[in-house]
This record gives sequence, C-alpha cells and structure tokens, in this order.
Amino acid sequence: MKIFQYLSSLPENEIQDLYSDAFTCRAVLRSLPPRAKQYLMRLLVVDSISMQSVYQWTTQSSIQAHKDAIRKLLDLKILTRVPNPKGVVSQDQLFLNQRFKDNIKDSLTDLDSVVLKSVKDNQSAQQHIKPMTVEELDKYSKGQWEKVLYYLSDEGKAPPELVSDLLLSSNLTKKNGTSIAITSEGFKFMLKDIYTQIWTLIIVYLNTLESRGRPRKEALIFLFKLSFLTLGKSYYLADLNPNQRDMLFDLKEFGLVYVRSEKSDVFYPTRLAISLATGRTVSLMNDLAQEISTSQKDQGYLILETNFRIYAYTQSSLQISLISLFVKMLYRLPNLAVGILTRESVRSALLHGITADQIVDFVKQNAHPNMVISGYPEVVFEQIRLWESERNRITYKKAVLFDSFPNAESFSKTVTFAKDQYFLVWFDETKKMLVVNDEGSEPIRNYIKKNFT
Amino acid sequence: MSNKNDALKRKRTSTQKTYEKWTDYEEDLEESELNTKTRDPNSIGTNGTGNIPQIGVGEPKGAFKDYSKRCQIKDNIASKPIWVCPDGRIFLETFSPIYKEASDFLVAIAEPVCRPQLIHEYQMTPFSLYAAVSVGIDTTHIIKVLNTLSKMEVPPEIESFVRQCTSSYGKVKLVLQRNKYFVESAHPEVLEFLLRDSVIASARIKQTVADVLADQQLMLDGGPNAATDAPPSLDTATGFLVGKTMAGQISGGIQPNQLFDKVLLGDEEDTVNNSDQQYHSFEIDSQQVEAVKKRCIQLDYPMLEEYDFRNDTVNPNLPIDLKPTTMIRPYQEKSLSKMFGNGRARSGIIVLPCGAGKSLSGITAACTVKKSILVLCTSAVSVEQWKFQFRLWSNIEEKMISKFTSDNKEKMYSMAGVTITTYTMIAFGGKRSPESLKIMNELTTREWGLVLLDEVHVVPAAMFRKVLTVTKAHCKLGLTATLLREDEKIQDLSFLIGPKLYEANWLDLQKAGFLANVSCSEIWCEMTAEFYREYLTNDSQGKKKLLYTMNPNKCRACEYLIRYHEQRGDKIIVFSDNVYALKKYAIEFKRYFIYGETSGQERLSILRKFQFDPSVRTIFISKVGDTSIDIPEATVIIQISSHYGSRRQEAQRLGRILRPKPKSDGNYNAFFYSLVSKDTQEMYYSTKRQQFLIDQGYSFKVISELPGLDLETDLHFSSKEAQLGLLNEVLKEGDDSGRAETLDEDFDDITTGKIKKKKKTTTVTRTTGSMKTLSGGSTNTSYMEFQKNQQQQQNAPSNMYRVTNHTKYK
Repeated sequence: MKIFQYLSSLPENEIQDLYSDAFTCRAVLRSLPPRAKQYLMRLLVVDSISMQSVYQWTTQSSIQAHKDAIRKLLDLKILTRVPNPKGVVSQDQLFLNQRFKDNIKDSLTDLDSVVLKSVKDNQSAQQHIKPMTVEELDKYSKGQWEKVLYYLSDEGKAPPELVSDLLLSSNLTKKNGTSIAITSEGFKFMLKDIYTQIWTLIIVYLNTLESRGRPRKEALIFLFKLSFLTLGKSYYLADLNPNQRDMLFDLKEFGLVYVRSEKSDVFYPTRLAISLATGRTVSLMNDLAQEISTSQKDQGYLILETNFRIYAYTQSSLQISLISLFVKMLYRLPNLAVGILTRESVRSALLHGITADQIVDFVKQNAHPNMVISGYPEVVFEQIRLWESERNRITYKKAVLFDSFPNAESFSKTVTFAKDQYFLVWFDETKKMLVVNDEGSEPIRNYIKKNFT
Repeated sequence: MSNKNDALKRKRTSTQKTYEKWTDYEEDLEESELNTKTRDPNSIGTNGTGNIPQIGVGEPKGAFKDYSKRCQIKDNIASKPIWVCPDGRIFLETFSPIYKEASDFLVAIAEPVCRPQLIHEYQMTPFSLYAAVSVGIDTTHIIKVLNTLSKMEVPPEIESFVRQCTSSYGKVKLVLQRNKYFVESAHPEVLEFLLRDSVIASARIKQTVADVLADQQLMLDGGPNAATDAPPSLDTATGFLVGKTMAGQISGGIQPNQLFDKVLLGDEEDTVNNSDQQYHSFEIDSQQVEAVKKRCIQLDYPMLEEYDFRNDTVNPNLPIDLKPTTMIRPYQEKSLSKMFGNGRARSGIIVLPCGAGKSLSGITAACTVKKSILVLCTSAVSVEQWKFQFRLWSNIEEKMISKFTSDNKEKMYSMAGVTITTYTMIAFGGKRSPESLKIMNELTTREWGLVLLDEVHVVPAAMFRKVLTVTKAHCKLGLTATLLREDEKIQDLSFLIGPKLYEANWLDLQKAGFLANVSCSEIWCEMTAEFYREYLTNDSQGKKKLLYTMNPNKCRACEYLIRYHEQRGDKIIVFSDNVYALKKYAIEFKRYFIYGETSGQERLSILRKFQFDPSVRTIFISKVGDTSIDIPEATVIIQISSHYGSRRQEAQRLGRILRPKPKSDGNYNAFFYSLVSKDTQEMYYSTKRQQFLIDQGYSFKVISELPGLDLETDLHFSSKEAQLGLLNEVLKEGDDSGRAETLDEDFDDITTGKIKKKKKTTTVTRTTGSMKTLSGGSTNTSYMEFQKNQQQQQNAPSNMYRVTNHTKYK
C-alpha cells in the first residue's frame, strides 16, 4: 500500500510529529494488517519485550506473516528494536513508540471524540439547498478524477494550475516548447488502477506543499482526519483552520471532497477521501473502479481476439500510443487501429514496469461493448500473465555461506542454532556447508566465535 | 531458326527457375509468419515477363501501415461492416447486421486470413480475384459491392487492382472434347495474342481441313442429340476452329438434379452469360496442358475450365442419385452452388474442416455430374471409406464401384462407373503387373466426368502433375480441410486443379452444431531435473527430442488424463510421431497401438475394437492416423509428440474429433490436449503449430499444472528410481529413436510410394534437414529438382524427382 511506503520514507522526526496526532495514530492502526494490529495491542500495556518472546507468539507455519508484521511495524517506526548489549539477538528488545502508545490508549478510553461535527440534516444553514446524496457524490468524484486523466491525455480542456503543476512535477507530462506532452511515465500511469493513480498524485502534492512553505505534516494529518468522516454527511467549513480550508479546495480538484461553491459554508467528503487512508481502501476503491469502468462501457473501444489481435476503434493518437505500449501495431485507418500482442511487445511493456494485471485491467476497462457481450479472451489474458511469470522465475536474496567447520559437532550445533533462529536457508551434511540469510550473518558469526574458538 | 531455338531455350530455363523454388509447401508456410501474409510478388512472374498485378508492393512485410491520412471515411458508417485497405487487407465486423452477406461475398473474392469471434481479416490476391471471376462474379460487381460495404472510400489502387486482375480473366477457356484439349475464346484476338507466346505456340496442334471434316462427320454421326452445338468449321485465315453456341441451350438442357435449381436461380445475376456467342478455338497437346495453363496465368489470361455435363452426350450417363434420406447441410450446398453456379461444372477446390462432411460434398457433386467418376485418395484405408460413403449416401449399385489399390484390383464397370484408387497407384512409374496394366490402360483412355481429389494439400506437386496428365478429366474437384494459404504450393494447386471455390468458417460451423465443440489445452510438463540436465548437455538433436518426449512428468500427465477420461467414458486417441515413445507409452500403460509397421489387417481389427469394444477406450497411433482415418467415436486426443511446427498436422489431428458429438449440451464435448515439456524447443514449436487453429478462432488454454495430478500416487514414473531407470533407457537408445517415424510399408500411402526407387538410379545428394525443415512441418518429404544431364534440361517440366528426407540412400 502506497501510504505505508510513503510514511516509512519520512524522516524520523517528522513521523514522530505525526504520531502526536491522535487521529493519525488511529488511522494508521486501522490500516495495519490484522496480525500487526494484534501485536500492537499486546504491546500497549508493556514497556518492552524481547525478540525471543515475540517469536513465541507465532507458529512455524505462519512465520512469514509474523515477519511481515514485525517488519511493517518497524518500518513505520511504531516499534523500535534495541540490540542486546551482549550481542545476543534473541535478547534484542522491542519498544513501542511512546506517543503512538499514548494516543491509542487515550482513544480506547475516549470513545466520544470526533474529528468534526457533522451538519445535522435539519440544521442545515442553507435550508433551501437539497443535501447531496451518496450517488451524486460518487458521480461527482468520478467526474473530477476523469477530468484529471483527460488533462493528462491532452484531450480535455486546459487544466487548473494546480493539476497541471502536479502532473509536470510528477514527471507525467513534460513541457515541449509551449505545449505540454505526456511522458512515458504518464502512459504507464494511465494503465494503473485508480487507487495508485490518486496516491501518486497526492504524494507529489504533499511534497510540493513543503516547497511552497506549507507544512506537509498538517496536510497529512488532515488527510487522515478526512478518512474519519462519514460519507453522505456534510461538515462546516468554519470548523477548519485556514490552512485546512486551502487544502480542501485543492483536494476538490481530485474529487476527494465536494464544495458547492466558494461561498458555501459546508463541504462533503467523497468516497475517494474516506477510503484513501483506511485498510478498507482496496475494496471500496475496487467498487469505484468497477463503477467507473461500467460507465465507460459504452465508450469502450478495444476488441481483443483469441488470436491475440487487437482492434481499437479510435481516432485518437493518444489512445493508439497507449495501446502500442504493449501491442505491435500493424494498421492504422481513419477510425480503426489494428495490432497484435506478441511475446516481444508484451515483454517490452513488462520491462518498462507495466504489469500483466495492468494490461489486462486496461483492456477490460476499455472493452468494446461487443467484446463484453461475447466474453473476454481469457486465454490471451492467461498468456500475458504467463509471459510475466516467465520473467520472475528466480528471486535473489542476500545470504552468507559458512564452511570449513572443524568438526561434525560444531557444524550440527550451528545448524541447530540457525534453524532455531529462523536464519537457516540451506545446509549440506556431507560437505559441512551452511547458508544463512543476511539477517543471520552476524549472529552466526558471533555464535561460532563464542562456542568453537 | 536458331534464334527461335534460343528463345525457346531461354523460356524453358526460366520456367525451370520457377520449378526450383518448389520445395514442399509446408516449409514455405512455416516461413510465412503471422504478419507476413503479403504474397511474394515474384512467386509467379519469376521470369520477368509475368505481369500479375500486385498491390502493397514496396511496403515491408509486417511493418506498421498508417492509412489514416490516405483513406477517407464515409458518413453513416455504423451500418457498413468492412474496411478495405490499400494493400488489399479487409477487416470485417461479425456483429454487423449484414455480416452473413458480407462474409459470403468476401470469401468469394478474398482469402480468409483469420476468423475468430468478432473481427475477421481477409486478403485480396490476384488468385482470390481469379477465383471470384471463375465462379462468375465480374469486375464491376466486385467494385460495386466493396463500395457498398466499406466504411471507407475504396482506395483507387484497389479499384485498379481489381480491374487489372479481373478484366482479362474468364476470356479463355480450356475445353476437353472427345479426348482432345482445346483453348477456346470468344475473342480471336486473344487467341492470337496467346499464340505469340512460344510455349503456347509449341503446344498447338495444327488442324487441317481434313481433320475438321472428319470431326464434323463424327459429331453428326453421334445421332441427333449430339449436334446441340453446330459443328465447328475451320477459319482458314487464322487456323482457328469456329463454333457457335446457341442461346438457351446451356440452361435449357435436362435438369437431372433438382437440388441446385434454387441456388442456380439465386446466382443468376452473378453468372457470366456465355450463350449466343461465336467461339474460336485451337487444339493443344494434352502433354502440355499444364505448361499452357501456367503460361496463360503468367500472360494474365488464366483459363477457366468448365464442363457442360448436361449437354455431354458423348460420355455415357451414370445412374446415381442421392438417397432421399440424405440431408445436405447449408454450407455443403453453398459450396456446391459455387461449383455448379452457371449450370456447368467448374474445376476447383472446396475447403471444409475435417468432420464437416467433405465426402458427402464430393458425392453430391458426383450425383450432379452423373458421368464416370474417379476418386483419388491418399491411402488404401481411405479407399475403403470412400466406397462405404458412396454406398451410404447414394443409390449407386455396388457393381458400378471399383477399387484399384495394390491389394484390390477390381475391373472397371464397362459403362460409366465410379473408380476409387490412390494417388500412388496412378503415379506409379515402375513395372506394373499385367492385371494392373490393363486397368491402368482403361483408366487413362476413359474420359472422366469428374475427378474427386481427396486431401489435396498432402499430395506433392510432382505426383499431382503425373496423375492429372494421365487421367483425362472434364472437371476436377479438390477436397481439403487445411488449404493453408499464402504460399506458392497453393498456387500450384490453383492451376493444376482450379481456384478455391469455397472455404467454410470453422467457428460458424461449430456454432451451428455441425462441428463438435472442442476444448483445446496445452499442458506444460515440467522437465524433471535429471532429464533437463541431459537435455541441456546432450549435443544430439535426436536425443534432445527423445528426452523431452519421454519426460516422466509428461508420461504421468498422459496417464492421468487417460485415467480421467476413461472414467468419464470417453474414447481416447493418443498421438505420437515418435515411435519409440509410442511403443514405450503404450506398452507401459497396456494399451493397443498402431504405427507404420502394423499390418493392415491388424489396424482394422484394432480400430474395430476401439469402435465397438467398451473395454478398449484408448489407442495409441503414430502419424499414420493423421489423415483419412475416420474414427467418429473418438472424443479425446492427447498429443505427446508431434512433427515440429506443422500447423497442418495440428489441424488434421484436431479434425479427428471434430465430428459432431451426440451429447451436445452446449458445453465442450471433445477435448484436445497437447502435452509439452516446459523450457524445451517443444514450447516454441507448439506455439507455431497452433497458429492455424487460432486463426480459425480456436483458443488454446495453457495449463501449467494439472489439478490433482500429485494426488495420484500410483502413476507410472512417479518414483525417482523409475524416472532414473527411464532416463537410462532413453540414453541407451540410438539417436534415430528421437526422429519421427519413417513410413515405407504402405504402398498406397502417398507419404511413401515407390517413386523413391527411381532415386537409386540417379545421383542424389542427401538433403539434410535445414532449420526451415526443422521448424517447418512437412510430413517427411521434401521435393527438389535436378538435372541428370543437359539433354534432360531441355525437357524440363517432366524432369522431377522426389527425395525422401528420412530414408537411407545408398
């Protein structure tokens, strides 16, 4: 998930600042995977705990999930690992971030706190204006986001300055003299799912805020706060501080919030804003993506055949260059382009970082109504995935090889130790060779030094 | 005089050049990759004098073609189903309301390239247009209909291409009368033009006044009915025979078969009206017919071959009619309507998928012509099956059918009859037994009303040539399932037999329930570590091939599939080109197997068991079962080893299970599995093999892991010991075991034939398999020509020898 990568990349002090906000802590907590949540709750009431004890929480079969959870918590700087002064790894201590701990503890005891008070329907300041329904909000946010994509594909009108700046600084478009053209990064961006697309832009947005002298931290906290609002309810602008209000109008461009006009005194969060930072994001975003693609069904222009030929009913050069990312083009006629998916053409797309699923989703999202009726050529999709998996048959991991053990006993003991500590990758009894993962390199060395020299 | 000789010599050497390009056509096919469908512009006009019109010349093959600026889009395009590109490529929307009409039209004027679900592609070629003209569609009609259907303005180059290709077509005809061949035309100037060509001039037989008078007398003697045409007279100025066809007589004759009348009427506007025209003709040497035909194509006056069988009173009629219970399917009717479009019989090729009833189409044609019928098959088994089909569908008496094979030399029925034989029997060049010689003599002197050529795609050009020169036929009908396009060999067929008259759409037939709904899968079998190590390190190609064929995981997958389908009650055929693998698998799994060395008697008994004995559910067959063996019971095919990248073999094997299955509930009712060892050459070949079927709209599902395979622990070769044992056995085998089977026991089978005896007398260099052959899918033969000496070079066309790739020469 994009948001975690982003948070992990922030400097230590900034993230510490973020954790002083109770709602940020809550947002982070609820977007954690279940196991990490569980560990965090256990740690709330202890000061520190040894690695060894933590390992006892899991069974051998779920060791990977366990490692992932600990890794995630460490990355997010919610946990800190303090090495054992004697070098005994199992005695390393884990500490829970103090601010985080306090905030979560407070939240557990204070159930009444709310981010913002919603406008009760009957108390609406402008009684005569009909409140927005959820459907209207969905439609609005969808429309706004499509506009952004159209700006990118130079087919829409000139974009608002904010969006055009963002696209430029995110390297999705570049200035070509006076005109602005889409970059290859931009093409890849177009193929990605809407969730990734929004986060890509939001992160660039947060970074540019900093350069404009506005605190990024506040913006992040505000984003997290938005996710605690309720869909379909409106909130008073007056409850926001000036910085937040500025930001609200920025977010409006992406369809994250709805404000009727500059003069309105209320705003509505949309599904995009609420789901952006939560663990439920994916499913909600999927719903939305689904809806968007259904709405596009009538404009879908791609026909993919079981013989790997693809026919694009389009006059737009942009759409043709988009498909030529993964298609070898054969013909272009005034209102039709013909190409073929080959191993080479798909591989070149994969080499550029486009994934098989992105290609498949892209074809599905832009499917011609007739292809939808007759059914997608699953065989072709399957082949694209196979071409992708062809490239991922070997994974590389750092490891360390130990050999020349003086005797069988020292070898077998070291192997047992490595096994117990989950460092062991491979060993050979007859050659007395042992391979451990990168993590285990230092501890094993220490262990051998301590016990056999 | 010497000048003339030089010219003659030059002509012949240049013809020779064309011949040298004749390698077995499947090799060419393998070369013609998916995107390089554009025809080699030099394929016919190699000698520079040929002026076959071309389109799209100068545009590199498979390159991106941008016509978005050149072409104009029309208004109101939603109702129009096609795009016509300047290079002759046509795209057709199948979801258009007038799809049926449009596709009928396109299949007549262009070659189908691929026909999957939604969008079909066609390519216009000079040959496809020639075929269009010969079934009676004229230039203006083609252009008019293209314009009506196209979303874009028809490009001017297409219009001129169509005009160029079609304007001169159909002006010259080749007519067989009383065992003599005549070149006939309504335009004497065309004949004069043709005679300026030395090849044609040398083939001409000058007629004297006395000859003509004798002929006239003969005609008049034939009785009152014989003189439907006024007897031709000799024009002394040109030396041409001049005759007159009177209006109304062609269509006014007896209508022996009511079946096609409605089709004929429907087609009437398309047909060329040949009546009430004076025609001029000259006779040519029957030995040179092919050379003349070829020259005519090069001179852009391809000859039409038509047979006015209803007015043929010289040859006796054959009492044959379809049984009242015989039902003809719409596409069979459509294909035959192309053949009998204007009341005469045209020579040509009909392309129908395997299992779609090719034989019935042929028999129906026979019932329409009602003259002596000669059927040529590829093997003795096939001869039996044709005879059975004749008895099944028509009311012909048994005594009128004679078989002529190496085992069965039946006397021909004295009046009109049906003779079924094999290509090799006719083409046989060696000494014949007196009995066989007698039948041969009768066969070559008889004037055949119709020659049915089965499986035309497998017959080598040389053999065809031989067969067609010795048999005198008014009309030839070629039948095949896989006339793979865009290569020279198909064009050879085109002037040896005639243009392609009809090609059915596989997917449409499947949707209509005329073909079984087949689920095609490619199953990836991981090589075991030990086999893969050997595969990578072994230098011998044969050994490599054997290693990936004998991959223990493949054996297990095969056994698993057999088990699964036997439990379901299916009948399974396992195909293996490799005989070692075939025997090993079959013996290991305790199943019957048939391969080259299996005697005919045993073959029939195994096939019968497979057909009727419920306990025999699986048989193993080598490539002897690829074509012509009709096994309607089979519902599952498992392919464990195949011939490199042969698309034809893949299609033929699929054809074994295409016959519609009774329990057709809309789901798949037939299964085609291709077992492929992962990360070996087999993967590459397998992709190539599937191309033809994929273009017909079939899709191959890749299964990288068979679900439940690991749960079956009692499969063969599951244990490491068994696998290592197998590896040892495989490594002990000679390199030859990796090769495909060499067939040379069945005299009637054209893949062998005694022609190779000839080789021993000639100096032959062994042709080792080039990459082309390796990736190409020829059966096991390739063809080349070479001269014995200078003198023979002069007689170029007949100087052809066949070299069998896999046989050992001394």
